[in-house]
Amino acid sequence: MDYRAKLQQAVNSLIGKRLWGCARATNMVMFQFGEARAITDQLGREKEVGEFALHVQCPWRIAVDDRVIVGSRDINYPADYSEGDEIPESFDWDKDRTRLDRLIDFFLHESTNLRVRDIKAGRAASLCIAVGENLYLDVFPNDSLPSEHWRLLEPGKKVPHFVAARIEP
Amino acid sequence: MWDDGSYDSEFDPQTGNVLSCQKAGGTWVELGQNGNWSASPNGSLSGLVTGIQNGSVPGVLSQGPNGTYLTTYASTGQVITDVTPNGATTYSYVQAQAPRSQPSVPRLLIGRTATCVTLEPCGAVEGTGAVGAALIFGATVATVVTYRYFAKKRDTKQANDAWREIQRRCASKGKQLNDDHREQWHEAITGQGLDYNDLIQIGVEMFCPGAASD
Repeated sequence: MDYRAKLQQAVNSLIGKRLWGCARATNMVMFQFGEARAITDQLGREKEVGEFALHVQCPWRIAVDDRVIVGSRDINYPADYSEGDEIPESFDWDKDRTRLDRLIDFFLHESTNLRVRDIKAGRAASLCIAVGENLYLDVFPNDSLPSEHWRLLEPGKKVPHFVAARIEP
Repeated sequence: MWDDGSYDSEFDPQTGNVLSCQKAGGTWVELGQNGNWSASPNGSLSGLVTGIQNGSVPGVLSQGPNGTYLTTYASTGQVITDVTPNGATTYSYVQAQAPRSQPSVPRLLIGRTATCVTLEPCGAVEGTGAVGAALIFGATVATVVTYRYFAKKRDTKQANDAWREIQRRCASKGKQLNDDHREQWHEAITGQGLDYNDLIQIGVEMFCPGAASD
């Protein structure tokens, strides 16, 4: 089985699952899919996770038809930023709420029917995840380093993670 | 401030201002120490000097006994703006156009409030401009009351970077981390809003409690 087929097989498990959560650990975004359930993590903390989590460290975007409604570069702007505004020197996306956070919260809160309809694994570990009727979550690795681009895991289950990284020739 | 984190007094006749300090090979940081100096190496300040010199620290904010101070830097570590409770000075460094067959000569522009002075190798010429940046930073200073320096945020994979730092810290305690550890770490952080330091702290707490940053 070639690499793209392995990718496709791994992500097919998301089909039919509902996208309901998104949190940010520095500039890695973690999408939650499937039924939400409470677990106790390795440090004894209670938290709510999905059946699947997609941890993305490469560029991504959510588009409705041809319009981007939120994307990874929105992290560079304060939550209340408008085009042309001065970005304060003190703005720190690692600490502060960003435009990305605001838009993704709004998107998840306002959207209905966010079940994954289809997924296509593309070139170089890119993903096109069709959600609902006309939403698309695109994930597109864009660096040549061997480090991880994204990983798919099943939180709370002892199942090996699927990790997408650069393929060595 | 010197590479080992020791620092001279701002009243030192040899190194007590931005230009003389830089000329002597030091890195100028406005800490507002009221003339204090220290000959003792300091790991924290040494790290700060390294960050300034390699361009990863674009500025330092500090709270001294007389108020707030701000120094901002070019990527080479040279001071661009120096703001103290007494006023602001801006600096820019340009490469002068040199006559043919002669090496180019660095030229320094110094801006103080609404005027600036251009220092040629053998003299000075007055000019105007270079006040905007100082005013902007001045507004920022008014809102900051604690010492910190702000790091330039890089558009790299910060979670990968955090994991490497966890590996490094655990290795310093004799523990090697593998892919299984990394999976456990991802399980621990999933679904939570965390910053870079949180990611490192969680990993260290899980695999090598007590491992320090150095």
